[in-house]
Amino acid sequence: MSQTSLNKTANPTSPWQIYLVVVGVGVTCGTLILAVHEATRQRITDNRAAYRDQAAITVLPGAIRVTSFRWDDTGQGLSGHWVADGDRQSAETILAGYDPAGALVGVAIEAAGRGYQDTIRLIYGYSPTQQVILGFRILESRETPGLGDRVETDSAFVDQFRGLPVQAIDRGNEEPRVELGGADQQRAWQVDGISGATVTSRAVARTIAESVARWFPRIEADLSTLREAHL
Amino acid sequence: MHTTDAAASEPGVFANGIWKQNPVLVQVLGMCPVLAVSNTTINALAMGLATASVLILSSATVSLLRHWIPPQARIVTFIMVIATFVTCVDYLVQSISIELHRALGAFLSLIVVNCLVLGRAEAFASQQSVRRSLADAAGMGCGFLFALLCLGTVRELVGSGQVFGYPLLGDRYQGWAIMLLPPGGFFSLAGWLMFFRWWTLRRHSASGSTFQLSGPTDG
Repeated sequence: MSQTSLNKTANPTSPWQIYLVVVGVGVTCGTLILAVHEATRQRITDNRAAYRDQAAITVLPGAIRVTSFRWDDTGQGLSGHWVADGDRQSAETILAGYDPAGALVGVAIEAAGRGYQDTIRLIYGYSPTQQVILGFRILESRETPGLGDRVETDSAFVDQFRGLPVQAIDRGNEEPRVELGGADQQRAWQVDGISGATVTSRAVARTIAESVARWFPRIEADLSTLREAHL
Repeated sequence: MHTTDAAASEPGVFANGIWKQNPVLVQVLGMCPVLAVSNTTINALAMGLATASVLILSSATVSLLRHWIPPQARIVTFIMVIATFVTCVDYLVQSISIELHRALGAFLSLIVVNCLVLGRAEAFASQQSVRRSLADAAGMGCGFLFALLCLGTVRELVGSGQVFGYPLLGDRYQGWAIMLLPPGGFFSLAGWLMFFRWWTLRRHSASGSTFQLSGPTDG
């Protein structure tokens, strides 16, 4: 204890000394954080991209590589087009998956929706040629372990989404309404949930349905760019 | 409770943290991450290692700076040092595995407010040499990791029949989901605390020494 300076409080410390120590430690700490951030930044970015690409490939059966595309909304409405986007920084991108021959397998789209405890982030595969959902994978979820996280592991639930049709319902002059499920099949909110994880399983179905409705018109509007990227 | 710490040698200080003053099983410190992140063994291991590295780095730094830090500014300085190392560990975990980082969630950042880390900085590192502080932090860190692994193993094994993701109890085992949920954390902590106390008491009565139960400290 004799070594300590903290207990030697006999001499009052001047406020300037306190400021000096606090500012000095603060500046040193800030510099250290900056150094570690700079040193790890590239690896973290690569890890994130690899994680997302890996997830995209798992929801696009047959795909061996993915390319990121961004919707360039230069014109009005759906007159925009897809632009290959290397940096993958924006949330407004989709990943197109290609087989060894360079043919488009489908697109993987990230979507987020409100779950039981927190936002669920997922990625799902969609085949524009067959107009069906190919599957999905949860990227981030804080759902109850053992219950809510069964949306990933319950095969009966997961299988419902493999080959689930997406259809555009014609509404005359208005934009067509996009829905999950065929004409005689259940709608998105009627996907069979998991008992004990009702909120989470409905949230997954709703998130995918909303995201499809949003991206479907754009994918349809400029499908050729996605198709021809690797041909 | 720290009077014995000052007298012990470095190996003694190290062993103290693992066993006699185990931060979880004796001092009952840092309960929030202990209960929240011990639902699987891998999470427990990662959280234990992250906490131990922050503890070791911050204790060494605080001990190095102890002659220059005025007493009035000590808490704010300690917190800054701890927060810096937590941020660095956070970046490092992200650079190792994004999946692991997501599994640990907010609790990785919350190491800043783990009373164990600040407690050791204030009670030990700010008054002791760097070597002794390192021994103490390493001991406490290992003790924390050990306790987290104890909880994580039981919870994952009973909850899903696995340990480190390997199915030990076979495919037919129906997991007790409650062990993976928050109540399971309390159940297994209670079980381990009872076992630890019983075992310590038995050992002391066998050796004939007197042993007094000390109540848990604030955490």
